[in-house]
Amino acid sequence: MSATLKKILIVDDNSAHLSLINSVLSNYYKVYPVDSGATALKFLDKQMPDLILLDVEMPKMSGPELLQIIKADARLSDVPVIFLTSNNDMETEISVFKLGAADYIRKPVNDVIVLARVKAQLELAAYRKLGISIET
Amino acid sequence: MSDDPKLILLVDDNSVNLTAIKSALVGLYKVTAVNAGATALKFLEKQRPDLILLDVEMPGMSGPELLAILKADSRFSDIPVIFLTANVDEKNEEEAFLLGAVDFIRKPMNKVIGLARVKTHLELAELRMAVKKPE
Repeated sequence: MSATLKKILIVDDNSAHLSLINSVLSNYYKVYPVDSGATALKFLDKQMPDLILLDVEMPKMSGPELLQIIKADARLSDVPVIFLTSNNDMETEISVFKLGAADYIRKPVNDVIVLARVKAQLELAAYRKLGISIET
Repeated sequence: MSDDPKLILLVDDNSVNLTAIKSALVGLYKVTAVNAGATALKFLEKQRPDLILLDVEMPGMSGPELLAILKADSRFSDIPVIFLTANVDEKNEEEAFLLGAVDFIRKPMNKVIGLARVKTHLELAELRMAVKKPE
């Protein structure tokens, strides 16, 4: 079964967050944790994840900056991106949707919530990839 | 696929929330707003909404109580239900998923966030149905 596991790229400069989210997801998915936007881009040059979890605030390249690069690249623009936001920052939450994120999850992440949001976006992306699409 | 606007059933005992959420959705969707679980059940006997937005705390029948009824009824069990939760209530939010809700939206609902979640789950439900249906 391992060959069919969905691949999730997690980008977060905070190693505690990174390992927490990794531990929640790695029971169900193949998880690639990286700690910067630059490392994420290197990974994306070689591999195509099924979903990206992206921290908003990172030194150098921020989450929104990385998202813009991803959305501008036709190869990557369909990969759903879920932002990891700090608590009670609704302005950021709203802005990430406008930039093209699929959703956001507040940190520290709750296991049940992160798994549900990730599952919904993976399923939606898989259907879209099959070419079953609807006008919305 | 049908071009008809999707039908959303909105259940909330607070008339201010009901009006605010309804106004964010109309234009994009057909919205039926009711202020009690009992009224929602009556509506469901006659019409099938594509998605239900359901307040958690209501007098009489609570949101989780109504959800449990829906999930136990094969006519309704595959209608996606999104809970409307009070701000900063992570326990309820986790609970919502465990009960079978597809997501939650915090109140007061932000229009961008609310519309994004609604769109995700309407699309997901329609695609699931399309995949299930024989050619």
